[in-house]
Amino acid sequence: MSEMKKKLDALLNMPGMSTGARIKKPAPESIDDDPLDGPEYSERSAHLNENDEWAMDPPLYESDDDLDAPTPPPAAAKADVAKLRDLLQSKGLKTGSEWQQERATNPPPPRRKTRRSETSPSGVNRLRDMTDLLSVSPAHDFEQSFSAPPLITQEEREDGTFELENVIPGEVIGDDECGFYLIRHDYPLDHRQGIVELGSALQSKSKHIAFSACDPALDDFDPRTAVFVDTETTGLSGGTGTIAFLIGVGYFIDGAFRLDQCIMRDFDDEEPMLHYLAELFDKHETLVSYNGKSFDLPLLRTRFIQNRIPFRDSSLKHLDLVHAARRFWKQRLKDCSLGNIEREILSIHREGDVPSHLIPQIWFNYLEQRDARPLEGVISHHEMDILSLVSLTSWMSQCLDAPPGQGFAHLEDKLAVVRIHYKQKNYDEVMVHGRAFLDEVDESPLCRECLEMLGFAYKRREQWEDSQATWEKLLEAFPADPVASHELAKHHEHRTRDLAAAARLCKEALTHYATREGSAGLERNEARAFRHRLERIEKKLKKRGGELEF
Amino acid sequence: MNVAQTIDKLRADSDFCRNLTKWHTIPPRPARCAAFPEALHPKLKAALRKRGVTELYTHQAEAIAATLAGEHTCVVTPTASGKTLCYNLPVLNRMLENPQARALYLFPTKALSQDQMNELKGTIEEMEVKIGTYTFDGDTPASARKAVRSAGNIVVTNPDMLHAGILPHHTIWIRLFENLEYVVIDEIHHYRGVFGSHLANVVRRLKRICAFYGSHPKFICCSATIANPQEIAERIIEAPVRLIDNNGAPTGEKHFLFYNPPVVNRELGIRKSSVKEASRLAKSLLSRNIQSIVFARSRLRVEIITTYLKDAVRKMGKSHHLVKGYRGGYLPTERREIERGLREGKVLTVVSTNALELGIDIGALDVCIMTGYAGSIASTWQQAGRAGRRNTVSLVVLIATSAPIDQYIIAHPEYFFEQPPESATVDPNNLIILTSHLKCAAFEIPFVEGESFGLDPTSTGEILDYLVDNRVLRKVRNKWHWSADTYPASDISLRTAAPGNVVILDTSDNGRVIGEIDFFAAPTEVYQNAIYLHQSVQYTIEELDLEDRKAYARPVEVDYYTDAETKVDLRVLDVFESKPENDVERCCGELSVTWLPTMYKKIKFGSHENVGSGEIHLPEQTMHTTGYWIEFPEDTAERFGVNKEEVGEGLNALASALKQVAPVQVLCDPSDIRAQAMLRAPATETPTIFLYESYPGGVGFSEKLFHHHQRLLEAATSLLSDCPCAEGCPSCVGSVLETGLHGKDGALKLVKMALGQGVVDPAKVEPT
Repeated sequence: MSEMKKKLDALLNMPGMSTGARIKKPAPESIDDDPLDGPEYSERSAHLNENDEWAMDPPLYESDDDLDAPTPPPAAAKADVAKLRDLLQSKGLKTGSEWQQERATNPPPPRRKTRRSETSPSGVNRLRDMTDLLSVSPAHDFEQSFSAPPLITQEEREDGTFELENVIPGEVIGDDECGFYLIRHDYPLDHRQGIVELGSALQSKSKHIAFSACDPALDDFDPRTAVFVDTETTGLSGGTGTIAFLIGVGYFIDGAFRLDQCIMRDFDDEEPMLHYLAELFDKHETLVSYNGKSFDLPLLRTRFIQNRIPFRDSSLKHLDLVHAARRFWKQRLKDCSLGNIEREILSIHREGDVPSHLIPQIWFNYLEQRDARPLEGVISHHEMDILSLVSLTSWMSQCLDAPPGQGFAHLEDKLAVVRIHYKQKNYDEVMVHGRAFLDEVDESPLCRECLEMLGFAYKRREQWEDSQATWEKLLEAFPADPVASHELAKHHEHRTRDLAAAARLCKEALTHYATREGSAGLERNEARAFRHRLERIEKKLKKRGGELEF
Repeated sequence: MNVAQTIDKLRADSDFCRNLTKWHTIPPRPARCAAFPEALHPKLKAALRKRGVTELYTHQAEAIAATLAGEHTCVVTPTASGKTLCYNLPVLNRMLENPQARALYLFPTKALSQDQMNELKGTIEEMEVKIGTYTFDGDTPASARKAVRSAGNIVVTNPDMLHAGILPHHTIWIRLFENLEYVVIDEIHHYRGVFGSHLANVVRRLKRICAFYGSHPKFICCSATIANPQEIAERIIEAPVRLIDNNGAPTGEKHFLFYNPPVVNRELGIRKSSVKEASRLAKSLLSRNIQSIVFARSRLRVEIITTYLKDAVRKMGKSHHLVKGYRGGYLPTERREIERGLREGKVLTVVSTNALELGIDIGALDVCIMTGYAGSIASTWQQAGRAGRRNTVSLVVLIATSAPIDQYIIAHPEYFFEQPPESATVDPNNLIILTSHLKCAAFEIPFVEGESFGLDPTSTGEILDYLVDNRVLRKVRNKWHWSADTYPASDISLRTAAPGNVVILDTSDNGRVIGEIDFFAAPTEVYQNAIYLHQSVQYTIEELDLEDRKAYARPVEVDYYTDAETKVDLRVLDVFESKPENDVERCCGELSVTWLPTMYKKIKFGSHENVGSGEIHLPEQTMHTTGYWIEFPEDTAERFGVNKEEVGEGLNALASALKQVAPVQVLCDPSDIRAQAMLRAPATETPTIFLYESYPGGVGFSEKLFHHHQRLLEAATSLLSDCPCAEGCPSCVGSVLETGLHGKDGALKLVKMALGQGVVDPAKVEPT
């Protein structure tokens, strides 16, 4: 046994030896150099002269030298810790910091005088504590009971009985020295994913895609050169130590939709896998992902850099469906996770799906156990994710391609179309879709937003009469609506020169909201604007009155 | 009246001089200059001339030449000798040659980073070139981070941010790492003990990542005067470093006075309050319009002195803004304003904690008054360095408090003037610290067989294998990969971290934030009914909500301040190892240290009378750490034939001595280890000396001390017997005032007993 090993073993036997992170901070919000500048170090705290105890080390120097203690970066790992804690709690286990807290509030009884035993009876627990502290991830041990099936025998492991190749059909790309495992599926174009046939995505029109992504670069989007991408990773905390062990790429080829799921059988499979992917990306023009802009793509970029493989990501266009989905459905669904969009929009109901947060652990377990059976769940989860990307792309395009008012079923979604046009300043489209919406809907709070956008659209196109009519309609349905009142007052002040009407509108708005209480009232700035306008109009009225009198 | 006149006046003041124990005059030193190095870019020379710099001091010229020649450097300079040019010039010079070049600046605090930014930006503007200079820390908004990463030629940050925010994300910092040519580590003396050991490992990780991207930056370090700056720099960056300590900056004549407040009560030996004496002196300087800085040892003292001085300046009919307090807990903007006020001369007197000891630019002042010894020779010189303009005479007055160490220093000025400043220690190969950074490094880039990290490749491999056993890493073929779904850097804090801070809100002003205080200090400073002083404005604390980290305050006007008392407790939670030997038993194990604020006193301004008290109802705070302790037999007193008090004195004295020698045995900073002696320890009821670690959880020092028990005791013995003092001094067991008349004798007896050398007749122990 080497010297180092001995030392390390000595460490292992000492639960107190931690990495300094023993008392974990709840959240590393700020680091202060000198917390000891606390009570115990201030000179007035040396009051231990009770009976026969001596206060030593009189702490004289209150150190104060690190005032704006630097703040550490936003803890990307915060979520991770929380996740881990939840997981452990669900198993009735504790994290190191919880253990620590409990220990602090409820310390073990003080030791007796007769203590001396060379071997610790609680050795096992200590080992666990130690693992807790040094490995940061006690989850390894506890996870197994959840996701892991039967322990496999040493023999089975050596024989590779449950290796990936023997459990999930696919092929090794490359050779024994350097390769990865590829699971390929070709789906016929009429394969249904929820309410959509995959092949219908080929009909997706680029203008609708660019519109829903709010990205003019996608104006020449072609589903035939798109590659649908999703990754499964070893964690969500980001950073260079997180890897994508399963990368799926789907694309249309030879009258079918092909899904290539590239999976690493161990860490050394990464390089050949990335080479394969780099080649595949070279043949395509647009990436389609769900939240890929902030998650998958940065992670892939990191993986390519780490493996020193060139990656032409800057010349790839990117359709990130999460942003489009949020524009259409955020208000109605709140939760815009892919799972929820599948359920609510695409009518896909997954059964027995593997919860995403367990996925890293399942792969880690596979590395240890060489039992790929639990991975089947991960692979089908991942497969569903990518097929849903195709469905969603197609569905959005279909809805947008329908005549105004007919694509989407829900009123909120129809209004969302108007809103997106409005944001993109497509005022003519706002008029078309807005009018269609109002034809269909008569009384709904949703009309207010629609009328508002319509009113502004007319104004931008200088269709003053339509604009006036819209504001009046809005006021009819929602008396003293501040936006309509304001716009109409402006209109009367500057266009029709009907100062009396303008003044009346301002007064109505002010009194209407003055009588209301609390948050429903006008914002301070709005009220000020009305008052300001009213003053000016009254001045003008006076002046005009004077002129008339003259 | 100028400083020279004031000094003459003091010299003639017999009442004042009667209390002086030392009047030390440091002669002036002329400037030694050198021309700009040939290699310097003309644009840079022109910009310097525009800023009024026509030549360099010798140390600057030497440092710049060495850096340009490709050496790692460590510049040791006193305050205000122009150290920033030593690194800014070579860095900017390189950026002018190669606009792609990058540099990384590390400062221990954000305040220093800010300072540096202003200085750099000034020079860059003069040159009329585009050199992106950004700070990157917790305050950098997410929207600005991308720009910093892609366009920041000079990135100014701190070690904590580098450790947890930059290195683990090196792929998005590719531009920085590919082109990194210089790394500046300022205030390197600050990185001592555990903090320094962490930094050394962060530097290992940094160098490893640079190597991955093919860059090999040169390091430029700056240090205040300590005994071993070169050694520290070489240990932290692990490369040969050229030491530059040939200071060419001029200084005026400096008078260093040791002042002991007069005894006012002869029977009790009570001296006049140092706070009052400092205020009195500062007041007279104020009336003469002399710019001065008053250092005080606690935040509370700073506020009290500020209060006195603000009152005084008002009575003189001048603005109270001439006087400012400065300490941790003030909001950053407030502090920047005070610093600016000092530089521009709008603030005449600043009263500060050691917060202003670091190199924040406040310009040079005329006089420095220290209310109490700063605790170490190095710190005292740092504080004294705040006074002293280039061409005029300056004055430093150390006013002793009644604390034993102050009384010792004031009585033995030669102890201060003749000793070299303390040396700093770092141990980059502390196993626990190294292992935690090895995890981070593996997260950043997988380790390849044969690679080394601090240790030789075999040992590195063994630790990596150990981490494999712990399932954090996985070895495939010849590489170790990070194999957990966590982010290791977030679990490792470079400093003894306080869990956030408590903000202080003014309830009478819509809950405006008036200040902040770190979490551990809150229970003793902003408890309910405490008087919280902020720039001498009084607030009473209505409620302390520790859970939400808020203290609610309301302005009041009272004529007293409050001072809390805290009870510190030590309890053994678990014994990992213990070994009886001779008559004592040594142990190491887990300890819980708790401190509980119990009550506060109300103390009247002016007279400092106690005018009332109250209880504090707050939960105790606990730190779990590891410790090493020695239990002496219950009947020690009987064996020695002395009373218990004498044993107590001996325990105290020996604890001091052990604390002095322990850092050398385990390679840490003195502040990393604490000592406590108990005549009757809880549970065992035996006389016990505890040495325990300042870091929650500990970093393995206790275990080392346990195994080096014999060596430790021997070192203590020679410290005790080699020290020429008769009854104790700060170099061995502490002064007599601290440990009592029998301290040193008692300590020797105890240590002999522990070494199995029997009870020795103290009369026979002679200093060798």
